[in-house]
Amino acid sequence: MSLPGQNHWFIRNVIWWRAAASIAWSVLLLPVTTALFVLFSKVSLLHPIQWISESVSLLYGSYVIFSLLMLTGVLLVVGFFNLQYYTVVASIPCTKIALLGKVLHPQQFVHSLVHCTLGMIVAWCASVMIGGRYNYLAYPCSEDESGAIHQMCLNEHHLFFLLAGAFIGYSYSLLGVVRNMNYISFHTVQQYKYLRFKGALPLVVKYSAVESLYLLRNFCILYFFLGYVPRAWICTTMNLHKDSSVNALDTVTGLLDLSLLYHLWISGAFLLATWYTTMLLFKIYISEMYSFPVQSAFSEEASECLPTVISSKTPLILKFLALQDLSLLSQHSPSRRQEVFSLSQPGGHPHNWSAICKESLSLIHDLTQRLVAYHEAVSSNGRAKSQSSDKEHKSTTSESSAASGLEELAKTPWRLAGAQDPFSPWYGSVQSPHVTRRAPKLWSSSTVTESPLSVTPLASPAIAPTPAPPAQTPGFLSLWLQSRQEQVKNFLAKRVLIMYLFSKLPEASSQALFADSQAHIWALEGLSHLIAASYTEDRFGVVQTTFSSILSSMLTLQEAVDKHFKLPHASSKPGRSSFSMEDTTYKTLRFALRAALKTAIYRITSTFGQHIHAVQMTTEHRKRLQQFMEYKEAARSSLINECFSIGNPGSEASSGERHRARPVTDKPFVRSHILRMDSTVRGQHSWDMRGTVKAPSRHTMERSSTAVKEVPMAGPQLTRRPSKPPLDRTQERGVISLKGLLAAQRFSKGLQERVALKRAAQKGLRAPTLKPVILVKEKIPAGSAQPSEHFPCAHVNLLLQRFLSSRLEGAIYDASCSNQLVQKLSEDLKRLVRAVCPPRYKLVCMLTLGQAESEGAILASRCLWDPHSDTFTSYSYKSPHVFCTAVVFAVYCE
Amino acid sequence: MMTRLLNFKFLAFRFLPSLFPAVHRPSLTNHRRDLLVGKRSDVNVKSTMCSLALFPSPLGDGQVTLYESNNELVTGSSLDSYHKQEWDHQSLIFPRDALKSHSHLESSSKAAFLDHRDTLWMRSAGAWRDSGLNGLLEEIVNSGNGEVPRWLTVGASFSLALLRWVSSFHGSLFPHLTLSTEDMVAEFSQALNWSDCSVRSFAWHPHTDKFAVALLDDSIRIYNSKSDTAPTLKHRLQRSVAALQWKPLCATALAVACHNCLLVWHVDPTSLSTRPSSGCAQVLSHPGHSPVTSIAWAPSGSVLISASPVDTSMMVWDVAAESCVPLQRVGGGGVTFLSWSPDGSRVLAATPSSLFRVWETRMWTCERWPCLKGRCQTGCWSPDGSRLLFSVQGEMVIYALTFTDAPGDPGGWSGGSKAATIVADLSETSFQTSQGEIRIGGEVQSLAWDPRGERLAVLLKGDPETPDRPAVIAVFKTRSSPIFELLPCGFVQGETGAEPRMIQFHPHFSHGALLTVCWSNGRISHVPFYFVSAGGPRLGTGRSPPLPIARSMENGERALYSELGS
Repeated sequence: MSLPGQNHWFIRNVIWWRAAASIAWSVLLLPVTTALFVLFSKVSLLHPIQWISESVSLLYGSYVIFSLLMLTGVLLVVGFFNLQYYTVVASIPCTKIALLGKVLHPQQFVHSLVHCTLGMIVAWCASVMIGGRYNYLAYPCSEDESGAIHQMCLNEHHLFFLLAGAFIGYSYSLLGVVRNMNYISFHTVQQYKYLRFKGALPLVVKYSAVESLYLLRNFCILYFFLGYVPRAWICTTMNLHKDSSVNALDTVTGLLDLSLLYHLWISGAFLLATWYTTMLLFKIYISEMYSFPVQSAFSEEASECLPTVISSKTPLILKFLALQDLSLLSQHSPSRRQEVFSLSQPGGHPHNWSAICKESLSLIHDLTQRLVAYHEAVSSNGRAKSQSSDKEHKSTTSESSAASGLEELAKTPWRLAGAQDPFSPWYGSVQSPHVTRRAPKLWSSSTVTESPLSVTPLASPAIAPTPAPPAQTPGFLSLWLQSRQEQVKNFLAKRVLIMYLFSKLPEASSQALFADSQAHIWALEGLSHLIAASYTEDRFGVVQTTFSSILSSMLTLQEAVDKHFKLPHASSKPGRSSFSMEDTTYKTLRFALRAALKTAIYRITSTFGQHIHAVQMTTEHRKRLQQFMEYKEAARSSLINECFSIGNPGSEASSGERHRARPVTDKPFVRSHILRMDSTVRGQHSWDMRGTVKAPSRHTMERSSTAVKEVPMAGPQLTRRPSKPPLDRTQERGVISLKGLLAAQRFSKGLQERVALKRAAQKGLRAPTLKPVILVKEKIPAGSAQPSEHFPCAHVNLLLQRFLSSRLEGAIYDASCSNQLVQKLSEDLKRLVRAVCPPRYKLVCMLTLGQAESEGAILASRCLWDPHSDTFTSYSYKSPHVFCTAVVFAVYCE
Repeated sequence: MMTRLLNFKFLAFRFLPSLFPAVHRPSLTNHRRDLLVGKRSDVNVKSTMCSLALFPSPLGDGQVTLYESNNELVTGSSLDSYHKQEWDHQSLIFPRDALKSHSHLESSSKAAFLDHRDTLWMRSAGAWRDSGLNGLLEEIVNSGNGEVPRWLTVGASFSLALLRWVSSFHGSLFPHLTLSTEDMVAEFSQALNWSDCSVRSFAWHPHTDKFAVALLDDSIRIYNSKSDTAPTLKHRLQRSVAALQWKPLCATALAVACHNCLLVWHVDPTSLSTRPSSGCAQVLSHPGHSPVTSIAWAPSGSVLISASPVDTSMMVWDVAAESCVPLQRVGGGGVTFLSWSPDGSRVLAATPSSLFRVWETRMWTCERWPCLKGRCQTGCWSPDGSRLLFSVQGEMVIYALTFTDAPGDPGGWSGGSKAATIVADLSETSFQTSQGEIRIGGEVQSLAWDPRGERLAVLLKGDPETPDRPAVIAVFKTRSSPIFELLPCGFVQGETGAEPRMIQFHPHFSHGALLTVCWSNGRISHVPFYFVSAGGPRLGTGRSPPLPIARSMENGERALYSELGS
């Protein structure tokens, strides 16, 4: 959170003005919203004229004017808080406890308190504007029937309104922090502010209406149970009485007051709409691009130029806007690019370029370092854990996982399966020289491969190039201490609440790692566009000096990112909701970064082409670059996506169904096909497969994040316990792991590819065929027939074509003899097909012959059969005089 | 400042079209005509117009256009009759009968079968799935007595009547909304007679020698010149594919415009798997944005835009984040066709009404260009993005628009000429061939300009009713200096009985231009045009240098190349 207290010129000159403008606009919009609110609150459809006139007269009333003043004050405070609390880097809590800490932070506490109060004020204004029974907190009432003794009674409706306002205000603040509402995202598409606002406004209205409904429900429940507390408190402090003639609101009958609920809902929506509009305007204004001068003639303005600004650290927003400006100028503005490539007047140094390039490179380098460090932390976890006593391994799976979750928050969940214990008999047995030779880098890249399935311990963490010193036998005391520690941990781990609080949120650490990646994306875009432009525009060769370092840092980052995406959770996508105010871009920044990085490298390679070989580089980078030059660079993480989709029972059973023209389902199903002939147009006919597109299409919309959740459920059928020794009890705990699944999947995919390679090699130098290699046989249910030889559909189809066209060439339709003709034809056809038909197939040949006039005809058929063995083929012949359609059904008979 | 309204042009001229009646046949004497009701332009550049009458006569049946060399189209008796070409992509064929379409709804075959009564719930569910709310209401209204309470039937019939009234009102404003989704895709697709094509869409990869083909059975195959494996992509949501495009500056990503969503496939080029799982596809969907008929990647590979004739806003997708920004302009009633200029500065967006827009991509503002006659059917950009050629339905001409000022400067206006000029007249012309008279000409189905800006291929619709007016491909030579003009090159003909359905140029053919044509018999053939670029290797205006021509093709034989010393 940036503090505007810093007296930076940018904050002073730009950010404050932008904030002020946004608040001014939201204040200007306030009368409109208020008028709408009044209109809606007075709604009575039966008396429209009275309704309108009443609302209009009310709008000029003193109540509304006064409320407007109050609301303006509220908006000013809300706007001020927006300015104080905005951030360009979303803070992502990695555990529940961190989230709790975020909510209970003192700064957040102030925020909540203030918004609570503001909510109450808005609710008061709303109640005053609606008027009627909500107007005052107290009203005179009579204790007894005579009405003689006047005293003040509590107007519970008014209190209800105020409390609801406070509740909504508090929820606004709370949800704001949970959903990172204060995060400002920058759009990929630049639009004018008015258009952006216009586009987002319907969403704001819809969102606040729905949100208000939910909050109202929560509030009613809360009031139902705890409502008597504030009521009693108010009654005693203000010496008010309770009117016994009116139903109390914390009863079911009291709450079932529809007009009250409607008014409350309208007021809540009004409150949220004004506040969210303020926030929206603020975000739009703040994230508007700012064009910095690249160089200035005056030295006092030098601090405001892009090269200086871009390397400044302090106001983060300034750095972000500068980077955005860099990326935009590199794409769109040749004249400003020219300034970047220019040399300084006395001395002839490329100061502009070197400053920009240095800063961008340091950003890229930073991210690479961070990724590598994270990766090392993840991979060293196993080793760090191996120091601990082996007692832990005796505990059950869940316990140990929770305990280790406690142990190190930075850990990632897949470490378990690979964690080995140096004290276990396992340890010695796996130290084959083959394994120890592996470098740590290789090790970490192969984490995914490892699984309980693959017994060869490719990547046991215990085996590092510098083998962990198991020889340092710890003293008795330390052993005892360790065991105590473990016991405490185990004890804690058994408590559900603690586990809940400390268990890591999936993919949060990955999100947190890339939280500020928008800056890196811009840096990459800017650099790559500038380099691409330098091919034609850089007259002094300014870029060439740094070219190789830029390329190598990009490639290093690419390697690190690739490696990161091999981790589970890293490539799982969060569910997307099209309808939400919540800005979820920070959750997907890592994907955007990966895409931007690849595009950047491709942009450079495709611009420079073969010239790029002249650049000095290490061989490893050259190899990597070669892949990019050939457009062979593979999407590594698609592999993982694939795994998830297979693990997901809801998704398409892709492995089962391979390259078959016909659909594969588990049960025999009713299938129909239609042969539609339309004589007016050319013979168009089309097939309809029944039952193939049955499934509702929404299912595939599930993201892989849901798939991740489902993997453990599907686990038991998929994991096999390795049969090979040495396996002690410590091994058993990791049986069902995501990692195992991944590894199995990857292994099987590797197998597929190897088989395919082999097949390709066997085919040798034959001419390239377009026939795909069928790798996996389709899954055939147990009850289905399995003919040794399938019916040759394509061949029969060819036969049909020849047969019909030879027999019907020049035929003219004649109603009298067509009967015999059709019978004869079908008999002949059956004999013909019988000759090529494999045994045990029953054939049904059906011919339809008709005169080709300008009518259309629909031929359709349905069969109940086994789709794995039974099939059909058809052909329809057309001449100017006749049409004839032949359908041959082949049914396998066991 | 906020209310910088962009369509002042529209405000000024929206009532004017009636003052200038449309001329159906442009007279040959008047070479310039204002398409747009803007200022009558007083440009005194004499632009020459090409017409079909200048073309060489088409060949008789049985002759197939093989390639262009020495400024002449060379023909042969069959596609396999020459081996001289340096381009050895074998032509593929996808027979129509081998593909079974899944796209027909069950309802269309319902009438053919005996009546089978499901329970009401099952029927309602089916109707809801097949045809939405309308179908559901209809099912309830038509249900027999006693199945549903009477009030429900009455309510349903009332609401159905109301719905029909509203939709007829809406439909009278925008007639295309009354079409079914299949018909709508067929109507607005770039492929001729889309619903009957065995090849429904085709896309070259912008940097390597591979292409993707969408077939009638809703599968997509990817062919690569360097490998034998041809992966087949299938996805449950991949229905009625209207368009395909590879992501520029990327090896893997292929965007597919489907029935009710967009799919972005990530096809690993090194993998030998023939059937990538549906997990490799990202699904991008937005409520109300279906069917998607056109997609376009930004040439920088940063964003993807998609359009649907039903949705008035076009979506700008950030594919990696799977988020979209709708750009809404209500006029026109939808967006049918998108084309991004090669330099990335402008986007053409056609609507189903007689109106199209040209967006500039820096601040995403647009210019409205109302047409007189019909909707804009297709368009293509010159390689430097300064000139747009387009055609309008109902007129047999090609229009050109030029954009002069660079849109890169801040506050720049995507301006240029005030009116479109006619550059080619494609009205019917009759040719005498050995088979008798053939009439060629008509409306334009699609346009393709080769990446060097030297050849322009035009797919003319023809008339399916009359056999002597077939659909043909006319190829023009284009020249941009001293003045922009089109010169006749010839007609590209296929095998007997095959009509062209789709055309596309190879993005980096080193010896000239390579036109890929999909024919109605399911064949995909490649027609090379060998020539030496007039202006040498042309570099762009400097904003983004064009991609260098492919290196991989250098080792081909040089014999033909040296012949072209003219």
